[in-house]
Amino acid sequence: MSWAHIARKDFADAGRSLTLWVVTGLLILLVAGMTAIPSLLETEEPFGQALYFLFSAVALVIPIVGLLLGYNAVVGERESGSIRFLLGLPNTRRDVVWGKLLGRTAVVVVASVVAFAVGAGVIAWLYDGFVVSDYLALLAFTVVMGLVYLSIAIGVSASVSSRGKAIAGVLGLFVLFDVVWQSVPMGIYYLLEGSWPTLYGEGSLPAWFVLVERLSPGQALSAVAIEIVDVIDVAEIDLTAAGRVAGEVPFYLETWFAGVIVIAWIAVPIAIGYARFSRAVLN
Amino acid sequence: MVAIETDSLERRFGSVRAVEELDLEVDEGEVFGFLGPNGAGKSTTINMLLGFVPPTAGSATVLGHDAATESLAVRQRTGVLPEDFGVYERLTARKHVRFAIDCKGAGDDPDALLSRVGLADAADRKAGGFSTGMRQRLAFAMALAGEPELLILDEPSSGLDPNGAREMREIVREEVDRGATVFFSSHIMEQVEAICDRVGVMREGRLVACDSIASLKRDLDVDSRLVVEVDRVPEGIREELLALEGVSAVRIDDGEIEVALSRAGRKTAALDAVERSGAAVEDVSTEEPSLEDLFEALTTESEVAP
Repeated sequence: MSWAHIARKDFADAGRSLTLWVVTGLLILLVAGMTAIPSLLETEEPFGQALYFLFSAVALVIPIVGLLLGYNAVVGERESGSIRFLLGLPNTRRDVVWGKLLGRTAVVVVASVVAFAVGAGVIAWLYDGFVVSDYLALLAFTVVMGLVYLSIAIGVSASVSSRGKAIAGVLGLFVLFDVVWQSVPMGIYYLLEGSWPTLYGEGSLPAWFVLVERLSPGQALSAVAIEIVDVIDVAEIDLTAAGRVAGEVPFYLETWFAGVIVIAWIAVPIAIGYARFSRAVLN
Repeated sequence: MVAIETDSLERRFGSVRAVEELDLEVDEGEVFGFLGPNGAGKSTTINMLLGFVPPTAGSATVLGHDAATESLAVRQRTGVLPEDFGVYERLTARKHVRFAIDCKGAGDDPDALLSRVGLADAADRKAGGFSTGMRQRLAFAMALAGEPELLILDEPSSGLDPNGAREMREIVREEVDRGATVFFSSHIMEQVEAICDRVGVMREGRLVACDSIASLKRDLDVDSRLVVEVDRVPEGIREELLALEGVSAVRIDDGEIEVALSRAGRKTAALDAVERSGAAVEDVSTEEPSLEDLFEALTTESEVAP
């Protein structure tokens, strides 16, 4: 259970850092602010709208929070030399990677719970029809999203030998998978068809297109989220696979498969990070 | 019983051989000083013993466990004071020690350990504000957690004032009395004689000597010095002295003739030669080889006397 001690120490350490409080403060502002928007717009179904705004904020901020919290987790200890304490004590390198993932996840959980508690207050005050289960589901989703980006960042952090490389790696992955990834299926489509696809509203996309799109962590998470946050009633266009692809929805575009992709985005980066860290020469 | 044993241990970094053909044996219950100048391969050896760095050839056994493949078992029974460590700036001294105790699964009282190393008053302070010496004490307290059978201390006295270094030596003695083996590295010879049963001296990745300090002094032809003060320095005395058997160097300085003798028994012959030359001898003193001389002889290339 060494990883539990490492996680606890890491949480205590991170909890005394400015990061946690900045993250929590930012989340509270976002959650409270975004959930208040529907009341200003005086829309119908304000609770559903509030959740939708909340989800948008979470999807924007949590990846950055996860990457920021994670990128220095392991390599920071290598640079400061405290890794010599960690590994001079009877801890395995697996304990270190697991402990870090767990400790930082706890930071995300605490920050999210506090922020969502404030958000719940705002929503209960402004709107009728608070659906506790939907709200908790979105909170759980937030934590899972945090876990995905923490895993990516800690995987990178465990793989490299300097903070600079960790920043470059994390930024590179973020830009590749969350910024430019959309253009990958677009490019393939253009090469095959000689024209640009219509992404939403028409239901004419080939199934592979949506699959490639969903290989990005952000898109896979969104595919799961639209089941939790009932955006179908809220958004004017159909965002689900059924509304986007031509013909039957194949199994790999069902929500559970998006869940598999999400799990892979948690498991694979941390596994690669561990594999590289376990062979690292710590001189 | 053997606490540490290495067999043709080797570590290369690219083309650099940090440690070569190292055969070392440290017995249980002894205090072993691992000496050598910076960059001689001491830390690399310790890093291999602790599993931080895998050997490129050979093997090491610590407390009966293979250092590369059974590192966890090694570290469970070993207390480590690493070199170039960093503290967790935001955590208190007590939290550091508590963490070490938890990882060891031990039942020590963190405050008791902190008071042993003289940090009782700083238990609630964040380690980020500690001086180098305090950090060193903190790391030592962490190493002591769980009554380890073996203490591996890498440059333990670095950053400590003479008083701190003395306190550390006292704790080392207490630990040995408890039955622990202590393996520590140092690049300063002076700190070693007081507590070491045996020393190993590294130079350029190789073990160049391994014995008790007394035997090393005896075996090594470390020069003792004869200093003769005279009213005037006679002509040709340098050549005359250098011609004598056992004289390795002569330094003449303003009425003072310093003769380096590779064999102490040749002092009389050298003194006779000075007296024969006609100079009046005003004072004679001799200097036995110091530890530093011994260390220097072992860790620098031997130079031919001019």
